[in-house]
Amino acid sequence: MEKMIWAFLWLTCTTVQVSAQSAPKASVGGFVYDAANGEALIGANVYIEGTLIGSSTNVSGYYVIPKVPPGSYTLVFHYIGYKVIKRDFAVAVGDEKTITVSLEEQNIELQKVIVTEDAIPNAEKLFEKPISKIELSARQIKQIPQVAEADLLRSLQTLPGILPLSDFSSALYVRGGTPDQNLNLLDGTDVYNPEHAFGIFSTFNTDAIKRVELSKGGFNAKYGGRLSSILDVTNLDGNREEFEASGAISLLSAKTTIQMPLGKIGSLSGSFRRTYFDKTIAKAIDNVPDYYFYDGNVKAFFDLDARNKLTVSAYGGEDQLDFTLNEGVDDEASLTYDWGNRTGSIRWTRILSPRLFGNFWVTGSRFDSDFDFGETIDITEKNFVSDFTFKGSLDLYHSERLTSSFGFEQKNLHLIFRQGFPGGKINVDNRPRHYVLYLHESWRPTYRWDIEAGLRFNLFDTDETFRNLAPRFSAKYRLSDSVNLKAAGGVYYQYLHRIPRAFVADIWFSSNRFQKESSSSHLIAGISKDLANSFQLEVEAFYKDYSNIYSFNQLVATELIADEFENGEPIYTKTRGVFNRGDGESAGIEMLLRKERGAVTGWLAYSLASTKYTTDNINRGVSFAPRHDRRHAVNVVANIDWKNLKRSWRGQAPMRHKSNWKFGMTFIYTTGQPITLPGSAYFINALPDRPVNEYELFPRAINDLRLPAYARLDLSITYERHFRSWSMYPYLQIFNIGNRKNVWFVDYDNIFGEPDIDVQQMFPILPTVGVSFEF
Amino acid sequence: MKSKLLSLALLAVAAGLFASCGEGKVNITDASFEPKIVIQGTLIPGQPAAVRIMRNFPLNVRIAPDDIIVTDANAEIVDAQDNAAHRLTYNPETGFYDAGDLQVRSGRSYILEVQTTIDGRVLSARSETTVPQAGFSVLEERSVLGSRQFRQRDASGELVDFSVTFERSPGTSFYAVSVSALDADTSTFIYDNPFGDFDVDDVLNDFADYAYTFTWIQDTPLTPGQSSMDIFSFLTWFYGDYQAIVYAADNNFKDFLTTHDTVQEIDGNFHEPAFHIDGDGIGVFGSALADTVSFFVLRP
Repeated sequence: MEKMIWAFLWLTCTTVQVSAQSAPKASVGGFVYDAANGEALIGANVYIEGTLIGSSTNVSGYYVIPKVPPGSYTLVFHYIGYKVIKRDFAVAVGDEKTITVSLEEQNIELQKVIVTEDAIPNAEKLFEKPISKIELSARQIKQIPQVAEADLLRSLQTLPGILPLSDFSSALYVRGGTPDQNLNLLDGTDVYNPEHAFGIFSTFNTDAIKRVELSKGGFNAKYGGRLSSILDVTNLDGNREEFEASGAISLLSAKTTIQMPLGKIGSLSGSFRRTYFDKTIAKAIDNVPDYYFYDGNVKAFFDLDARNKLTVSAYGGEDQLDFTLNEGVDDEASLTYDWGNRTGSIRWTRILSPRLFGNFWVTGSRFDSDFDFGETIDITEKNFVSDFTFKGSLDLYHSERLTSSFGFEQKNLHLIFRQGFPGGKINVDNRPRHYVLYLHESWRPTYRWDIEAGLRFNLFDTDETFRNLAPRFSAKYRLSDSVNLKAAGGVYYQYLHRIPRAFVADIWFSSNRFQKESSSSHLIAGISKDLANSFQLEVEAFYKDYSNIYSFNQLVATELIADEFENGEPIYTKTRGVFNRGDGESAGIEMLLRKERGAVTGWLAYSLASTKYTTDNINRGVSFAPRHDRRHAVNVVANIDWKNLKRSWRGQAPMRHKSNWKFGMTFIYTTGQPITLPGSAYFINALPDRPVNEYELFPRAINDLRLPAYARLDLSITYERHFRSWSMYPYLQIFNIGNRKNVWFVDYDNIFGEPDIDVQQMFPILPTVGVSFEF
Repeated sequence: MKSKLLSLALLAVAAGLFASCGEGKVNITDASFEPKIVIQGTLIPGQPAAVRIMRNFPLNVRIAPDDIIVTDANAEIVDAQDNAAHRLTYNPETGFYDAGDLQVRSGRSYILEVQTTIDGRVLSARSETTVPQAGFSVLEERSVLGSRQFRQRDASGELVDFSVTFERSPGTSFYAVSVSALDADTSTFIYDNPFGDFDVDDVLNDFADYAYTFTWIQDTPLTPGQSSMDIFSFLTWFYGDYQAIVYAADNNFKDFLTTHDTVQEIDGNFHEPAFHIDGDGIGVFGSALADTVSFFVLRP
C-alpha cells in the first residue's frame, strides 16, 4: 500500500514537471454565462472548430484549453438549449488568451419553435458524466408530484438505488447506506439534519436551487467524510441582467424567490417560504399542535474582475412546535420543540493563471434544537452541531489530456448533546478537528479512455487521533460511438455517527475511543448507451462493504455508566454503550432508462439489491437485512407536455405555447421492508409486588419477515398561462391517488385478554391545490 | 401507431393505478412460534424465595395466565457460596415454586436452573443473581411523605413532589419504587390533571396502570450514602392512601425492568430485551432489598 502511494505521488510530481517543461504553447480560457441572467453555465462545451481540442466548464462556469498551438482559430461554445456562439481568435507562443461569453437561450419567445437538437450527442454527455452520478434541475424536481410541496430529497427517492424508509421521511438511503452516510452540501457547506416538519420535508427550497448533483458512490478524492453518497446543491447566483421574481401559494405554505442585478458588479438572489398550517387547517381541528416552519436563502455573486469572483451564500430555517397536553385545567402541561439550521459560505474563485484555477471557501454550519417539556415532566434537551471550515482546491490544466487537482480542508466541529431528566443528565460536549489533504489526477491518454486516480488523507483529532489514507480510482472507455464502459472504486472514511430518531432531530457524535472511524469500500462497474439520441440507458452494478458502522443501542439504559455525579445524580459525558458496532455489505444492479427531451420526458428505473448487517449483540451475531433493505424497486416518472405531444403526433416540431397543460406521474413499487415481529407473548409482572399479569411480547429473529410490498401512484396536473411579463401555473397534485394502504408497521397489544393487532399505515390519498407565479 | 402508443400509455397508467390501490395485508402467523420457559423470580432477604414458571404462547391466542403455568418443571436454586441446592416445589395455592428452607441473604449469589418439556421439546434455562449488599433503608424523616395535595406547591410557587430518601446499598446503583393507590376507584380519580382529558371510560380501560405505577433511578454512586427519588405527580392518579415499596435492585432486576416493556421502537420494529437468562428462558431471575412507606394525596 505504502509503495503504491509513493508511486502515485512520484507520478504526479513527474507529470507536473513534464507539464511545466512542455508549456511553450498558448492557452485560452474564460467563463461561460447565461445571457438572460448572468448565471454561470456548468458543463458547457468549448472546442476549437475543426479539431478535437476542447474542454468543458467547471462548477464556476470556467473553462481552459491549455495547449493551443500558435495560429488562428474559431472557438465554439455549446450548451443544451442555448444558441451556439463562435469566437475567432489568434494566439502566439506563450499567449494566455481570455474569452468569456454569454449564451442566449433558444426558446425565449413564445409561439416560436423550440430547437431541441443538441450539438452534443447523448453518448458524449453520458461519457462525460461520472459513474453513479445523477443530476437534476429545479425544473425536473418541480415536475414530480409530491406531498404538498416539491421537495428535493423526495424527488431523488424516485431514482434507482435511492430509497426512503417510509412516506414520513425525506431521508435518503443510498445503495444500502443510511442517511448519516450522505454528505449534504449547500453551496459548499455541510448541512446536518436537513429536515423540516419532523423529517417529512427537506430544508432545501427547490425555488432557490440552480443545480443538484448526487453521487451514489465511487466519488473521487475531492469528496469524503461520508461512506455512501454526496449530495451537492448549488443555489441560484441571481439574475445579473434584470429583476426576476416567482412565488407560489398553497393551502399549507407560501414562498417567493427574487433575483436582481447588483449594478454591474454582480447579482443577488433570495428565497423565502413559510408554512401556515397552524393558521389555517389547524384552527379547524381540535388537539392539533401549533407548528410551522420557515426558511430563507440569500446568495450574492460579485464579479470583482476578470480573475476574481466572490460568492456569499447564507441559509437559515427554523421549525417551531408548541403543544399543550391538557388545555383549560389549573395546571397545564406543555412542550416546546424548536429546531433549525443556519449555514453560510464565502467562496473566492481566483484564476491564478489561465491554467491554474482556484476556489477557496470559508463555511459555517450550525444545527440547533431545543426541547422543553416544562416543569410537569421535567425533561429538557439541547442538540447542537456546528462546523466551521476552511477549504481550498486548485485545478492545474497541464494539457487537454491531463489535469491535476489539489485540495485541503480544515474542519472545526463542535457537537453538544445535553439532556436533563428526573434522576440525571447527559452532557456530551466534543470539539473534534478534521484535517484533509487530497490529490486528484485526471488523464485522457486517448480519445477512448478517461482515467482518474486520487488519494485523500484524513486526520481526525478528538480524544483519539485517527489517520487514514483513502485511495480512489475511476476509468471510462468508449466502446463505440454510443456505448461507454465505466468503473470506479475507492475507500471511504467517516468520523461522525448518528443516532436516528423518528420525528425528532438525529443526534450526531464524533468518533472517539469508544467508537472508531467507519469505513467502506466501493466497487462499481457500469455501461451506458445512447439509444437513438433520445433515450439514455445506464446499467450499473455495485458492491460495498462497511466496517465499524454504528447503530443506536436500544438497550443503552442497561450499559450506561455515570462519568460524574451532581448531588448524587449521574451525569453521562461519554458515548460509551450508546452504539452497537457492526459490519455489513451491499450489492446490487441498477437500471435507468431516461428521456430528457421531447413532449414526454421522465425515466424508468429498476434496482435489484441486497444489504446485510452483522451487529455486535444483535440477533446473536447472525447477519440480518436492515429496515431499509429492498430487494426490488421500480420507479416510473413521466412528464407530459400536452400540446407538444399532439404536435409530435402530427409530425410537427415542438413550440412554446401561451397556454398549455402539463401532466406528471410517479409510480413506485418496492419490496416490503424487513421487520422484526413478535414471535410469542407471555405474562409477567414488572415488579415483584405488581398485582396483575402484564401481557408482554417477545421478538423473534431480527428483521426476518417483510411487510407487504409498497406501491404508490401520484399524479399532477398543471395549467401554464404565459402573459406579456408574467406567467401563472395553477396546479393540482394527488399523492397516492389509489389510496393504497401501505403498511408502516404493526402494533400489537392485548386488551382484556383479547389480542389487538393494529396495522399502522402510511399516507392515504393526499390532494394539494396551489398556484405559482413568475415575473 | 399513435393510437397504439396512446393505448399503451393508458394501459400503463391503469396498471400503475391498479397496483397502487388496495391494502397491504399483514399476516402475523408468518411469525413462527418458538416455545420458551418464562421465569419470574425476585429474591428478597426476609421474604420466602419463590419463583413462578410459565410458558409463552402464540400471538393471536386468548389465554388466561393460570392456564400456562408450568407445574411440573424440574427446578432448583443453588447457593453459589456453598453449592447447596434447594429444590423448588410447585405450590398450587400461589402458582409459584417455593424454595423451602432457602434463606436469602444480602451479598450472596444464587443460581436458578430449570428444566421442563413444552410442546414436546425439552427446554432448560439458567440464571444467576447476586443479592445487593445490606445497608439499604428508606429514611422517612428525610423523605417528603405524609399527607399533601396533588401537585402541591411551596411558598415560592415551586412544585414539591412526594419523594423518598434512602441509604444506598454499597455496590448497587439501581433503585425502583412501586406506587400502589390503595383507594383507587373511578370516584377517587384525579380528573383535573395536566396530563390529558379523562373520563370514566378512560379510567376503567387502563385502571390497573393508573392504580399501580412505578419509576426508578439508575447509576447512583456505588458508595454508601444517601439518594432521593421523586414520586412524580404522573405516578399518582387518585386521591387517598398510597403504599410505596422501594427496591435496591441487582443487575438482572434492573435490565429486566428497563427493557422488557420497551421492545417496540417508535418506528414499529421490535428488538430483544436484556434478559440475563441462558438457554431457553425469558423473564427475570433477580434480587433486591425492599422497604415500604406510605403517603396520602388529599382532595383540594
